[in-house]
Amino acid sequence: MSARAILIALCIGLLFGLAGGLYYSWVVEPVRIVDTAPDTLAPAQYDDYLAVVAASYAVDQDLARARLRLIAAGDPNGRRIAALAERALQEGWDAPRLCALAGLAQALGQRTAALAVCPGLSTPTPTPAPTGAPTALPPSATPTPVPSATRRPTATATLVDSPTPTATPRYLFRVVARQKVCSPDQSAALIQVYVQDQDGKGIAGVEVRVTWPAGEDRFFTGLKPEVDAGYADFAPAPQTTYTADLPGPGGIALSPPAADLAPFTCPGPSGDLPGVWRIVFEKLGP
Amino acid sequence: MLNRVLLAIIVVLAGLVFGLAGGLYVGWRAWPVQYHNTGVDSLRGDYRDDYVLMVATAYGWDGDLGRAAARLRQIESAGMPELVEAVRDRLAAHGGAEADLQRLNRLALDLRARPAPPIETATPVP
Repeated sequence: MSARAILIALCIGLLFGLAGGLYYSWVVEPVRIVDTAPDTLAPAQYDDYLAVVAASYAVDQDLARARLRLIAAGDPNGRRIAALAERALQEGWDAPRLCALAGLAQALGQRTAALAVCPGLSTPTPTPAPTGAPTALPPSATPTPVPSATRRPTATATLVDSPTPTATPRYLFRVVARQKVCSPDQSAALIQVYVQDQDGKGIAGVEVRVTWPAGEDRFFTGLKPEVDAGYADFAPAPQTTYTADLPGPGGIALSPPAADLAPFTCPGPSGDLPGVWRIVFEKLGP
Repeated sequence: MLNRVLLAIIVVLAGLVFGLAGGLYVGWRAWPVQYHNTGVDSLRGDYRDDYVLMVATAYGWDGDLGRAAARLRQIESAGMPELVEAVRDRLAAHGGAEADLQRLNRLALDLRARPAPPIETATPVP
């Protein structure tokens, strides 16, 4: 067998090998793209992914979670979020989606012109990088005690849950108390909401929103001035968990949500008593 | 004659082996596949579950069921409620937050209650 014949046979082998490989990889077992990460998404889906991250952040205010999602999306610093907010502004996205992007960009330390059109976000405040508990106040910020002199007879109320105050610069209000209260003269479960200024003075006329899996209800503070000017309450249904917040115009929440308000009972002298959730929103700034 | 045929077969087989080896080297080492322009449906399981949770959270925020359905349709067009319920169940099994579970539950319920989309009919040609 001559060298030429060997070369020809080798080439034939290579060609058949290549053809077989291509047939197998294109026809028999073509590539199925699975287990990808968000940073490989096509541009339109990537933008929508960022929008969903921002919308989720607008609800749960969990910056650490949002940052993890953005790391997976290849945008750990929020630059693409800010760029998308700019583009959303130019393209005329609806205000809630636009402001959700702007709010997240701001929380990540990015500045965007979109902030100017978002109420409550128009005065950007530098936000330090999150350190595990991004929405928690420093330890020095203790919950504001709720005066009991002018309120429902809760003088014997027992605090069974330490509230975790939360504050986020983008909001007009923060949650300074989220307490489980047990009172011996409580006959029905209740969600009490107090809205107050920085001096602890109740603010009347503030809309409160309570949501649950099947719906929502809205009401205003100040309808029971005998309790407090900034007081409102809501009678929850059994076995339903609620979230309370202060909605604002254009779908922009004025406060972070006080979530997971699940029913609970308190031990009483003659059986269990229904527990009361007490939520206190405090206005940020004058 | 027999030796020549045998030699030819060996050479062809060698070519096959070298061709295959070369293709694998190029495909796996020198020029590996780089994914881009992928869809949500190709996301890894945990990313996909998190995406569904985000869609449910966003739905609880904007109340736009059509938008939520359009987003989920990228993953599963036939059984969207089942998809959301499956994510809810997985999250519950891993000790997910109650608020997240409720968001998923609400979306699943609303998707089930959603009227079926109208069936497109061809416009008769006169």
